[in-house]
Amino acid sequence: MHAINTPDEDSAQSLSDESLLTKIANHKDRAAFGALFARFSRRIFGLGMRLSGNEQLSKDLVQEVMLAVWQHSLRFNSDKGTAQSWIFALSRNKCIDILRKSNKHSISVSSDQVWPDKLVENELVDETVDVEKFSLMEFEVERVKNLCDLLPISQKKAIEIVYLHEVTHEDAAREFDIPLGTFKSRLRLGLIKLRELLKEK
Amino acid sequence: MTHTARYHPEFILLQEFVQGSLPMGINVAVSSHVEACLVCDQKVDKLLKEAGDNWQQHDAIEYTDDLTFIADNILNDDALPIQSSISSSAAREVQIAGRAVRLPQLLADIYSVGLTWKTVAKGIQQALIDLDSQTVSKFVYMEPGSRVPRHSHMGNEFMLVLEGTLSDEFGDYQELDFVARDPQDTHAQTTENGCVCLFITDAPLRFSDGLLRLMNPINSLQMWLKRR
Repeated sequence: MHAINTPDEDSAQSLSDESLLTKIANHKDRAAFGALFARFSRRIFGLGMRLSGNEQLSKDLVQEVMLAVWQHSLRFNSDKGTAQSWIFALSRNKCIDILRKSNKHSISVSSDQVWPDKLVENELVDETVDVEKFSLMEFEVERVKNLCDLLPISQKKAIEIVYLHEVTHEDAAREFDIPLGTFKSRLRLGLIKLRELLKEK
Repeated sequence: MTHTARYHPEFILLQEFVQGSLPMGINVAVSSHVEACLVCDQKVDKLLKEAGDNWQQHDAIEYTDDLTFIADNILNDDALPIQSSISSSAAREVQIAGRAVRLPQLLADIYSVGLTWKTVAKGIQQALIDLDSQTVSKFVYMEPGSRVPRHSHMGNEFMLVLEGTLSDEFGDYQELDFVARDPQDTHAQTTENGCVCLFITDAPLRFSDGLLRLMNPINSLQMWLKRR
């Protein structure tokens, strides 16, 4: 990003994609983001050109995808696939959605309906889960604990610390050394999944 | 769903599906099959992994503009709103002509928008769904004993059986079977006990324009069909 790399950027360049995503998720690490951007921006642009043939749209795509990576890196789950395939799926989906926006058809279909992929968390902000009010009291603790094991480790820890150890969100965020907002979104994602799991059984 | 599909999308079609290069109508048909077919679902997972691995070569492009200004935009404006969408989950059990049909989720969502059924031939009704400008997509209900006369297509035809059974000269198809026909295939379809299907046909006439050709990678599908 600059003519002379800072020490942070030099070290970032030797890390795996997955480690860079983790640094972004946990510390909003700008050098890690810069390294990831350098690796992926041209690929995303190339995918945009292949699917749309439109240069401006492809640049917009780079912006949208890398913004999503910056803001939603927590959604990447390394148990389910590689960072490359996660960012690839994100790019494909966003590209299809951008293309469809400019092309009105009476039936709207979004990419996460077509590829309800395990790698791409649906970008829904589920208003029905109120993190402040969500209560696990009605469920058996043992059952919740078991289901938590199915969640990504960071989400599992977030739920445990709040609901089993009754630590406040603020204290928990400090404990994990992450911003409060990041902690809350991690908790929210975990709760959304947990609720699905509770419904299933 | 109760059956296991016996007819599946060909490998290269799944590949195009993962790459995002199919028209939406065909995406919908493939996605609906994949949702209910464990075999194809696993293939799609594997293809996605490969797409990630081969991405750099696959989408390599001669382009010299500096894109780093975009990274700066993102880092300097972290207050951009998070996009949100509402997840839909329409009822999957529907009644079509008095038949209980269990739809894949994506088709259930599409179905819930409300369809207009029209009789197109004796014992056959269809409801068009406007998904994109490159395909004609429709739900089709055929009553027991009805028949689509022998025909060929201008383009390719993709069929997903949703309920019941039907047959043509090439085979018998049941719930979840995914069948592709190319323009050379001439066939007549019959159904003994009636059926509900999804039909997608592409319209090759659309490909003449330069930009559209680029935007419409079904060209690669046609190349595939010629190669067979």
